[in-house]
Amino acid sequence: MIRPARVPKLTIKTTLFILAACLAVEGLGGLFFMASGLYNIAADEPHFTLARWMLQAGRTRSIQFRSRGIKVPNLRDPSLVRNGFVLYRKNCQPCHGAPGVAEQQIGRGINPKPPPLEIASNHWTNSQLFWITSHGLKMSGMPGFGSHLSETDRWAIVAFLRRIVLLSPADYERFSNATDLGIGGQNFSWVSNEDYGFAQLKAQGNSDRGRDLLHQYGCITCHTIAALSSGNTGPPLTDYAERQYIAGLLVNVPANTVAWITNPKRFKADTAMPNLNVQPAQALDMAAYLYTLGSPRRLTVLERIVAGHRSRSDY
Amino acid sequence: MRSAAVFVFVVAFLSSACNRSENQAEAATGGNAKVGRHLIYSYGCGSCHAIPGVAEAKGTLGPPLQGFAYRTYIAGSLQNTPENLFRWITKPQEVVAGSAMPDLGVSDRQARDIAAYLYTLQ
Ligand code: HEC
Ligand code: HEC
Ligand code: HEC
Repeated sequence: MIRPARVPKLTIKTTLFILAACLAVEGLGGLFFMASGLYNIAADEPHFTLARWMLQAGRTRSIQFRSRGIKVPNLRDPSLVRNGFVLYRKNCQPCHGAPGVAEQQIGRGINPKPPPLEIASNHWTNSQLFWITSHGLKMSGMPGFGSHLSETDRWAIVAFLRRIVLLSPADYERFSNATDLGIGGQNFSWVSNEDYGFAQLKAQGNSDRGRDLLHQYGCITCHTIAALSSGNTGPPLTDYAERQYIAGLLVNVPANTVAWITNPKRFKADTAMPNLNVQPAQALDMAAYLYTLGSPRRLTVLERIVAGHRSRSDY
Repeated sequence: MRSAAVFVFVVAFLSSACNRSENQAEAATGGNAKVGRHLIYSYGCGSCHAIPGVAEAKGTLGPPLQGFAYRTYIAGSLQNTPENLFRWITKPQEVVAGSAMPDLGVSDRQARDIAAYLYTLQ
């Protein structure tokens, strides 16, 4: 009486049919949507969140996949970095800008926006940067330079992208002057031997003590720190580890954070951040705490680059 | 029934609070906050700043602009008034020479709209 075999068969068939119908309708719907012109392709309007996510994720995976196996040459050669700087200024700065320098008209209004490479470079490995520079990125304004810059020149640019992340606007201007005037010989800091305070932070910075000191010195009355406070006199320090510049003037590395906290007026005479007589050792503890805020990626990459520049080893 | 009434009240309150902040911001600056938000997107301020409510604005080069309406100073050196904010947005290099925020060629009219949006950020 009961025929169990037929029921599932029907169900499977029906399900398959419904699925196929759905796909067809969706496909048609998608086609219709594209053909109708309803999707806004204007570059001055943002993408839908989903479209943006799909483009971004696909792009990242593709770059990771395509750049496998590229051999990285020695990027710590000062003359290579110098050459990379000159090439960057000519080929990349018009769209991407540089520390303290805006992109030119041609770089405005492109969607997606050419990001400042003093922060974006940190997301990529050397071979990935080389790949992007060589091939460019489809469906965006990023051109490929493989056909008109030699391989050495493209590596020189990558070498400079590893340097630009440590340059302040004043440094960049110094670099520009040096090449314009044809100076900048052996002793010029194309590759720096400084350690930017990373070693000391690691050896002596104590973030628990630092947090207590932020309370003691009243830093939290002026600054918002997501977990601690909501002061409005100065900028929020939430995600401080990710921030590129301090007060718009200094690259955010441990040595500069300590220097700023101990004596902000030294860098900006009229700044509203007071000198609070913080001792360098205490400022180091405060820095250790501030660097726990936000993603640690930027500092990890910078630390590796600094170590590489100093030891002349790979990074 | 009660919870529905509470819900309607909360929504009405929130939307009026939101409009109030927008109205205040526009009265203080003489600009249009919605136009300002669009300008912030197309000038790409968001590639350097995290700005609530603006698509793709999660840049980490400069300070986040969340809660900007309540901030006391601009770039540590100007009182946060509408006039000073217009000046900063149009000519940051005149305020802090050598700042990592470059002059972007924003016009006076556009600066009013941009400022109107920034003052809705509470
Ligand atoms: C015509 C304008 C233009 C020029 C010139 C240009 N770029 Fe780009 N670049 C872009 C745009 C637009 C993007 C954003 C692409 C995206 O998000 O998909 C981009 C993205 C990038 C990225 C990826 C950044 C990221 O994390 O999203 C790198 C790296 C890069 N460019 C390097 C360079 C280098 C190096 C040069 C010079 C050799 C250069 N670009 C010249 C427009 C340009
Ligand atoms: C009276 C208010 C005030 C106090 C107290 C204060 N700051 Fe500041 N701080 C500021 C202001 C204003 C700025 C913006 C400075 C500028 O851009 O010129 C600032 C900037 C900073 C910055 C750079 C942030 C950025 O994004 O550029 C750091 C880091 C900092 N302060 C840390 C501290 C620490 C640590 C303390 C406690 C020892 C402290 N501040 C105490 C007002 C204050
Ligand atoms: C190339 C990166 C960059 C771009 C693009 C940029 N800014 Fe900035 N902005 C900064 C930096 C760095 C500072 C910190 C300046 C200082 O303290 O001297 C800053 C500071 C500010 C401040 C003051 C914040 C505070 O707490 O003191 C405001 C407001 C501001 N920018 C608005 C804008 C607007 C609006 C745009 C777009 C029209 C924009 N910025 C584009 C880098 C940028």
